[in-house]
Amino acid sequence: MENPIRKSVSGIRLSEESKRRMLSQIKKEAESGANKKNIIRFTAIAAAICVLMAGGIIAAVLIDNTDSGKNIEIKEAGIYGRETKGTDEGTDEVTQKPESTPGYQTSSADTEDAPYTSETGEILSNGIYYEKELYEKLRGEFSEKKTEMVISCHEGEAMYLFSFEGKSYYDIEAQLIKDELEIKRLYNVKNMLTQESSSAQDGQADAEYDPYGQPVDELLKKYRKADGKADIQQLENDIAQTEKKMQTDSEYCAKAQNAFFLDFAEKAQQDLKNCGIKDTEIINNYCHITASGKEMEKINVKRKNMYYIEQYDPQMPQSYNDGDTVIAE
Amino acid sequence: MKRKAVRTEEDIESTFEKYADMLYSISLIMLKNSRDAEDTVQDSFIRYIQSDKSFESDEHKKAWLITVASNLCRDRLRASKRHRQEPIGELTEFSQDNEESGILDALTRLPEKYRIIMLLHYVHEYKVREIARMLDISESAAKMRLKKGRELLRDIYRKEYM
Repeated sequence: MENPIRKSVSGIRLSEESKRRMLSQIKKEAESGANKKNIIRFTAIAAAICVLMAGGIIAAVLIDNTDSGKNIEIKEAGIYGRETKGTDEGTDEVTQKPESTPGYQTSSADTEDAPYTSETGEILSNGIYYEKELYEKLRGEFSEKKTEMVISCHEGEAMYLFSFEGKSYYDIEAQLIKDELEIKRLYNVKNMLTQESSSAQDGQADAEYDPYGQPVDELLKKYRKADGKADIQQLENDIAQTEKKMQTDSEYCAKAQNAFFLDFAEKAQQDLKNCGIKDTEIINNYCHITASGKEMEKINVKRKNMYYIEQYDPQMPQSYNDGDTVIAE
Repeated sequence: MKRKAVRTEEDIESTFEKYADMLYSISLIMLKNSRDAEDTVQDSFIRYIQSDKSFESDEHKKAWLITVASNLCRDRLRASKRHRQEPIGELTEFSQDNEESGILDALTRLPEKYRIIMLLHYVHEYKVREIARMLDISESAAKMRLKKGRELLRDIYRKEYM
């Protein structure tokens, strides 16, 4: 079963003409870049000499001034507010240092080991993660205005600690991964056996491991008939059966996920009610909340570092907002 | 001290041959405009030749190029809100049949943040942890976006094509 998303994208390719044109442009750039580097190197050396000379002159003046008993105050130049950080990975990030707003102090977001960057959002002192746009909206001029938000669980770990019908979610998802690997292995064995019969060499595949590094000799033996020929029919039956099993497991996993999100949404709703925020509603297993920035300041929930709050987007398809709840792919 | 990498002509050619199509497909789906997508691929490779970065493996190089291209796409999308988008028909001509063009169509209609994550996971088979690193987001945010991206894709596809 080929991944349909990959299949849909696989036809997207550059034309040969475009490739030639682009490659020649890139090579030109490489050549001019090398020339530029030489110029830069020369300029840098010249600039360094100038700086050294200027430094010498300033030092001489300072010494002279100190000697004559004048007070010299050297102020450190500081950049406040906007900092531009250029990266070689494409973006020139502009980071704005958050101004302090009562109740909205950033906690870990400013520290080096912050789990989230200001690129994606902010963690407030109450441990709640807000998407950046929403955060700006809540803390800014709209702090009085009510905004509809959706609350999700942002700690993936919480889901793995969840139990559904007596089984841990971790085990439920692990089964799905096992199914997937098994299907991949069976397809690999099929490829090996098909290549073997088409090349019709000695009729024996000698690979001990498939491309995923899994031993395949047992499987190869299993799908070989007494006369040494490959039993492709049996193999295809087993693939179909495993795919069917995976579908069932996938639906079960989706149910477990839904149960988790519903459970989380209910707990979130209760937490928010305890903080005095009443306008909440559970829609499609998500807790929706309508509150102003000022009301959000009141939140002080027990389950810290678990809430992920994003803005409700009315442009999302209807089913996200109130549609069906099955997540099965 | 890390040794600075030198890009030879041979290296530039082989890297381009290996990854240009992949970067183009990502850029085209992100930008929905073939000219901008081509420019993005070209700019990504120019970043590559200008960078002194040395790579531990081909996978490392591939991930770096994807990060560069997706950041450049984001820059372009941010720079021009009135981005000219190509009619969907021009994109779907890359597909072989109706089912595929439906998925491709649905994929291009996802919001940008879900589009890139779906591409990286389902087309380029990156794990959540790797995607989180590439996009500079947390693993749980990546998981969440992947889940919502799946839901949205399914919804759009069901609504329009089933």
